[in-house]
Amino acid sequence: MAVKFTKPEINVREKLAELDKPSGIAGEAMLRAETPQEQFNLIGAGRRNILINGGMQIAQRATSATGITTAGYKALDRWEPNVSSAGTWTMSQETDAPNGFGNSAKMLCTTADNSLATTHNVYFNQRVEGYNLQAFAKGTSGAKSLTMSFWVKSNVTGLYTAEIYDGDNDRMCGQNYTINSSGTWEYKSVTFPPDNTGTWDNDNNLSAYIAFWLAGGPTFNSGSGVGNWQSGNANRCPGQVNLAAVVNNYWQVTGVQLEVGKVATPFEHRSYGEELALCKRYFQKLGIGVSGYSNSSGTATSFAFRFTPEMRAQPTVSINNTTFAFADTFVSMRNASSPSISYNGFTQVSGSEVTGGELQITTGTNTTANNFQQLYSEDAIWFNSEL
Amino acid sequence: MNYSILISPYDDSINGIKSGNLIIPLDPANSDYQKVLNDIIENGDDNWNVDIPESIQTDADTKLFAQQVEAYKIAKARVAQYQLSVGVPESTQTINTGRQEWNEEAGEMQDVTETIVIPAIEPLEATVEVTTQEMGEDPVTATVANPLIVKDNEERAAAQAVIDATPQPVKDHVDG
Repeated sequence: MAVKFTKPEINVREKLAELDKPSGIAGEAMLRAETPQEQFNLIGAGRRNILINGGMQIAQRATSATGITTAGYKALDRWEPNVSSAGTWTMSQETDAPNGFGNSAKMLCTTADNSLATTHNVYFNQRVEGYNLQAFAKGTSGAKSLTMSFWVKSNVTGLYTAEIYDGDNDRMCGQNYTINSSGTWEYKSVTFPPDNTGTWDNDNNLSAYIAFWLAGGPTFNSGSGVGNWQSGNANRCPGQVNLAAVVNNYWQVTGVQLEVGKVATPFEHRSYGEELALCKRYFQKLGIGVSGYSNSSGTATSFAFRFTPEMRAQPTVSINNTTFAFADTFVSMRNASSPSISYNGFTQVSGSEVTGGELQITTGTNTTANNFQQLYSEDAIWFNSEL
Repeated sequence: MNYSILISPYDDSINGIKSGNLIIPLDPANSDYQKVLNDIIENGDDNWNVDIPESIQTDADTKLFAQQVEAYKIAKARVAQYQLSVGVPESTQTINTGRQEWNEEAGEMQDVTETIVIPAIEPLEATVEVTTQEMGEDPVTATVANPLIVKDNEERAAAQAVIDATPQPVKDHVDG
């Protein structure tokens, strides 16, 4: 018996024409990639953002800090306003943000400096430990480009500088960006060339400052231009707008991402919980719920605790409130006026005291002797391990 | 800032540095501890209510030494650069090509070298002419010292001052 099969006709010309169909630059790059790793890099898969709290969501210390005239961590986690004799500033966490973001950081000038003296400056920066920078292979023959992307908004249009300062080798590279429209969120990206000189130490110490310049005196702007890795201060921010020139000038930023490569990929939105945990490597608080035991005279109470997560380095301890509230076995509320504090790391724990510690708070005679105590003030004790 | 010492209630060891309401651990990775060391380097014991403990003073001395080593290296490198007002004469340099050839006389393979000529760098002009013009007036031309040379000389002098001020142990450490 003869069986007859029918096959669909194939139009050879059409099939050949399909080969010419455009796949786009990105698609062609994917096709040209020779290894899965290359394709992985092209689509920006995996963790990309080196920076923490780039979406400006976490503000453990405060959502606003006024009267800023010096450097120091004031409000948003990991982001430090560095002010040096260039006016007075307010730093705040704002809900004004571009689509896709819930928050931004704002620097507002409240006292002007319209004639910046030699070393006067203001920059907004995040300091990064060496452990987090190894992917850039800086200082090697295989050093990689770094790309920073962010959303920015200011009432002052003009030229601004974003900078990476290599604190291990005192080298820096700036790149300019321009704010074109006043009061409008604009997306920017800048790429820093690879640097074959000076490696970043593979440790928990400060290796890089990722900085946005807002104002810089002649020491920092007398050079010819940015764009290259170099030493010295003259080319830190030539041409930079002086945002400190007029009261109520402001600058806002969010969605800050620093990644390997020459291409800015979309902002890596991590969950709030993840971002908070990352911030806690550098700053944590103790408050309600921490239990301890008072001494035989009722003059001091000891609290033992562990840090979660482990902190970057042994933290500086400070009392956030001058009045502490204690509860004796959850019954009797007591206050300790002007308590003093001592901190003993867990020296018996192997390694350093980044894992936890013991606090002894001298409270006067306000606590019942030899009694279980509970700390009853929120955010009472701060642990700071920032860079 | 006034600093004092926090003693462990258990073994009398130094537990930290008290400064206002801060307790700063003696951890070199702690940025506040580094600020304390900087303060000791700059102001000695001016801001201390007690004698600076030996271990902390040692940390400050070590940090100062490292800073001086770094500054000395940078200053030496700056002074080693050629002077813009003097230039550099032509010179030659013998380099190894990486190849080897048979040497009949010696009866062995020997490195092949090449002599390259490094061209001279001419000194910059000592002076330059600068023309300025005020609104409504004729341009005025003045001869002034070449600003590049002035800057070069200033930087060299500053670097030499660093070298001169560097303690001998630091120089010995760097120069071997």
